[in-house]
Amino acid sequence: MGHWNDWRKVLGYGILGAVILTAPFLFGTYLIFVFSVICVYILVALGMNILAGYTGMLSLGSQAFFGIGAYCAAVLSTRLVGFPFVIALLVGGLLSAVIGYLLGFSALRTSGVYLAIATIAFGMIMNEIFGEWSSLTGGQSGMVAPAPALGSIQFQSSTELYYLILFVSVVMLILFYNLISSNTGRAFIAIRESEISAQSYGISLVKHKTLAFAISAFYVGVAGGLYAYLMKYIAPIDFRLLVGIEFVVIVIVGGLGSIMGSIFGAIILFALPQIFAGLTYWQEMVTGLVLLLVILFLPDGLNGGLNQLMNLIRRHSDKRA
Amino acid sequence: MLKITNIEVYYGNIYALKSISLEVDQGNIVTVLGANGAGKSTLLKAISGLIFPVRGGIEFMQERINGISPHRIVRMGISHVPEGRELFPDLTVLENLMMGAYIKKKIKKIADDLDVIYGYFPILRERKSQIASSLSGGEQQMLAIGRGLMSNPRLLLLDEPSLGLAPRVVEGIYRIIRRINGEGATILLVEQNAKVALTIANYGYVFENGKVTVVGKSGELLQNEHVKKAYLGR
Amino acid sequence: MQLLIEIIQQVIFGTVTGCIYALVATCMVLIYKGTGILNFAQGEMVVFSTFISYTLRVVFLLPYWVVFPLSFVISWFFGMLLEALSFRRVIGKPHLNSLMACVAVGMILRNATGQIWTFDDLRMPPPFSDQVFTLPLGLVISPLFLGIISISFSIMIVFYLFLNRTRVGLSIRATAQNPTAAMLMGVPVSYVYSMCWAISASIGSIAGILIAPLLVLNVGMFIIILKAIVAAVLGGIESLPGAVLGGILLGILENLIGTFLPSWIRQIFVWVILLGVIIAIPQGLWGRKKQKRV
Repeated sequence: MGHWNDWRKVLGYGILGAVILTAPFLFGTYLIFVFSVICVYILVALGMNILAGYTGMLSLGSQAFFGIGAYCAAVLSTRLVGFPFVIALLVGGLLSAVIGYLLGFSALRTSGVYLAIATIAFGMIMNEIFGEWSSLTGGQSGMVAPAPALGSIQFQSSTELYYLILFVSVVMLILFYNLISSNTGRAFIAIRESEISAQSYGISLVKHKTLAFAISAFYVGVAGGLYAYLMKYIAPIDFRLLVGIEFVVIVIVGGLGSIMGSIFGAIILFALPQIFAGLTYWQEMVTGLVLLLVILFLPDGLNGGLNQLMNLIRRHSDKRA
Repeated sequence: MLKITNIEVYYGNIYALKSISLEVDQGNIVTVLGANGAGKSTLLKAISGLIFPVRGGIEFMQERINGISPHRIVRMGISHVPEGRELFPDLTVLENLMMGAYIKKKIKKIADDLDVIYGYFPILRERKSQIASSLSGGEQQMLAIGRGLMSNPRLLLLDEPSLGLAPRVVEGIYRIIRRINGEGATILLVEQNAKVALTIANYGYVFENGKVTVVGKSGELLQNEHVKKAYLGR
Repeated sequence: MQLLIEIIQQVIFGTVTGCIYALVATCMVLIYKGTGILNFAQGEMVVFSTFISYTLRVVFLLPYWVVFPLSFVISWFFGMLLEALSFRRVIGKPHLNSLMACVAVGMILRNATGQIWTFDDLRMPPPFSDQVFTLPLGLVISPLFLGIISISFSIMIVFYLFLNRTRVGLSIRATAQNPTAAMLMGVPVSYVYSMCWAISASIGSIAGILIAPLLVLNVGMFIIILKAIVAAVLGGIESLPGAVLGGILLGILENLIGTFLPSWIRQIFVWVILLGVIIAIPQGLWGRKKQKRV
């Protein structure tokens, strides 16, 4: 009985993998663009999940790191033609990580609501800087992001961008999985459950909280760089508070503390505006309603809801058998 | 007056009361003894409505009260003085007492009742403008009991009034409890300190692990071998 | 000498806006003290009420002495409705839930306001004459300023008396400190929560009528909430007098900074203050240090 299930799982994943790898040949340009964007948001969700899902800290300022990563990629690729995109992404990610690490120190003395407010303040300050530092960032009107490059090779078409983003995403996903399974990952979870108990187990709050912020910022920063390459144009408005809120919405709706949850959330958050493409005026209302309904009725997000559903189905079919 | 029949109560996920039956007759002081975690506080919470039993019935003055919310049970004449006192820490002594009288409308009656309480606990009149959290342990207990009396309850539920207090203070409080009973209030008293509880109770129950193990008049309990060994230290 | 005049002028302006921050901050502190929820949707609630007031004044042409109390009452029920529909279910849950629930309600309200009325700007007629008078020393004042300051202070005084001198107010304070004990005293705690939201919405609606004529009335006005949060945190999020002082202090500081430093610094100044207070003096200027209970 079990064997059949395993075979079906492997087959399923295999087909999924094949589809993902050959997507550009199966779907049109626009859909490929959508997939690419979803990958970017999955990375964002992974980063957000480290904070909210695994360590239990709420940050409404992550859009700042998205922006740092984006501007780093855009500026480096513009000023230094042929600059390897991998380095540009890394610079964006690491710069974000450093700043995130510093922000993490504020998390030491605060928690819960206060932390959230502090991160909002941080995000607002960064957004203002993006707008004011015109010489670097092009000011309020933003700047163009050239195609990612590797020496003389340029990744221009949507297909090339897709594979590039896919590659980076897979690497980051693997890293994430390793992180969560490691001692550090377990320490994060311990802190979420109870800071005081975690401390009594010898887990250093200082080390782990700042580390969580740094890693989270890294992921969101790299995602930001990819975003810049994908959108080809960025401006401070792309990194405003509402964006930061949407980032949190992704992980809440998708389900906190799980990789699948991150993926769900990214798909939902991106799919929704597409469905309501003609109705930009309603976007905020729909996002708000989805968020509210999830919080009120599905505290574990869609992933949790799906798990409950799966359990119900499994129990029902077990009874039958 | 109070009749509890086979109630089963969960405290969170813990199966705290495993089919308890208990009766309190009007005018009596009934005590419930037992170690920590035996379920005594849970019993009082079930009566006052903070927790609902999953099975069984609680009747007060022949009316079924399980499943009714706490703010209505108070109006029926049951007042619960919780474990740890649960005062309003940043309100004054007077404000705490006024909260005790929340369900009463007539200002004159409230003022009269205040005088009665001050009669029992003169120190409260002295400290009436002081913040509750600044009072000593004994004074806080007195305030908690006084507050519980402001609603003129027919049945007073006292949860571990002696907890954390010096013996002299406990003696003083118990003297007042006896006086309150003398003036008409029926009392259900939960205590870890069996010795002092049995000095004023007419009747007693012993809880162990959520079940009643010994029942009887206080005189009988004092003679009971098991009770003597486990709770009276002899 | 000119500098001194300028400073005093800015203090005047700052006190006016500060009063409004203080009102909104009071609303937030009330809900926080009463229910433990930090109401991120306060700004949107204020804006929604203000649009209602706009309709009463401009469409139904009701005079302001009718609009003020009518708006107050409508917002009272509006607050109760919001609490019943959404916030009731997040009391006692982790912060993440209540915070995001507020954010969600805020988004829905903001969008709803735009859909029902408009996303464009509206001009709100001022409740007092906004004629400007120049005093001998070159100081500029207006009946509007005096009106705002006096109404704000009146509300805050009435609210203070309500909270501290009435039995209902006592029950709200008691419930905030110990809801379990309050239940045992016969307080219907869920009514108390409902009332906190109702009062908050009502006072917020007045704040909205006062500030809208100064700025432009539009959906984006909810930004004021963020400043009110700063005011509340500055004063100590559990302290009502702190909220008042924090609001006025913030208004004055904001204006003084804006006069002497480039405008973009003024923008981030508010956030820097917020970060600074949260990191260095988390209990606020008037609050008390909290101990973690194990």
